Amino acid sequence: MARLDELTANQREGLETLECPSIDDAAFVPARPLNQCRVALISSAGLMQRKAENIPGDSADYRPFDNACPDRDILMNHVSINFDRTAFAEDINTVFPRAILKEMAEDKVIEKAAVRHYAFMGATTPEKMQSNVLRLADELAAANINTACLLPV
Amino acid sequence: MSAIAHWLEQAGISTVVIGLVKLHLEKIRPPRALWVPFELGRPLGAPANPQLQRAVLDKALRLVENSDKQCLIDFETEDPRRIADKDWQAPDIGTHQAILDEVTELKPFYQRQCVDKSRTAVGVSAIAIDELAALVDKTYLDNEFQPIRSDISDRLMFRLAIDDLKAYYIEAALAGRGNPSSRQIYDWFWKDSLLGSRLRELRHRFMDSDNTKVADIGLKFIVPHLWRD
Repeated sequence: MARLDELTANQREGLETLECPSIDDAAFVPARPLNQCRVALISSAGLMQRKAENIPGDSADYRPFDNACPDRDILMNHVSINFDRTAFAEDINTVFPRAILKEMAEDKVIEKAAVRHYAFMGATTPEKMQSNVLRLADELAAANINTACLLPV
Repeated sequence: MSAIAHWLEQAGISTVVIGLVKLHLEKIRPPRALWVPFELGRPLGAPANPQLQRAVLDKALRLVENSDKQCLIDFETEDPRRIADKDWQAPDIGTHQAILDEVTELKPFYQRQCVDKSRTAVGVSAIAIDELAALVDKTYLDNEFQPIRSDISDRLMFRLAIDDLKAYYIEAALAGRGNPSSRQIYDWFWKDSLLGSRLRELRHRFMDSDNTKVADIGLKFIVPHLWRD
């Protein structure tokens, strides 16, 4: 479980001592009605498309997943072995809930689910990702996406 | 991911993080965060439980609508699959001398799960499972990594091989009756399977290597914290 007191001592120490980035100029986009949200998912699970190149363990880049890419062609290539993978093996929506988000759009809870979602390699130091995140922000804006749901593993 | 949320927000994209480690959410303070009390690796909670998954996603996204300042709230519902299922039965894998034989015995279970779910998480190595089993058998006998793919190092090939083999065993374990917790599946894998026991032994052998890169594989990339000895 993700409660720290339920992890092994080594794992707990690793999470407790992990250096966290400090963000000085925190921004906050004003509240927006949910039915005006056009939403993309961004996972840190190191997802790759079947038959694509493997993701280097220190990759700072992201991989896109169009809706044309079926769930059966999405694999987990994360470098860490210290998190559960049984849930992903059984049901991809535990990690990358494209079907659930699509259902929310069909029910008109949100305005739209993106046609393209994304994944990073979560083991990479966040600072190395920053320029790629800014590129992703441009890509999201160009696709008229105004909301991102971030999903660490 | 919390840092990514800050940078996206600076670019004008509203964000919400569904986080598993509350300490990190408290330290990095993303604009909006929902802490979920689930196991690492499953931010949406239980598999095959779309109601719970939808509840998580709904509660997270509503923060975009309802919050006008930095916020961190808790998701209260536990993952029902954290509880062991007494009705679950692990595949009976008998006793084997080679991982290839064990993999062959598990094949009907694995294939049934693939058909039921219309997908498999096996595939990151892009090598057939029998070949991966033979690779680990040979690595165990020769005590050194084996070449298969020319485009990646033999060390990385070994890591990808065991990632695929673990996924194969997990899917075979899911093919039976019941809804096992991850702990049940991993206990079976690490304690009862030949592959699990050989990987635990290989971990120690690699850690004893004079080659620091090999030792690093043993130290970090074979056996998770919980099953190390």
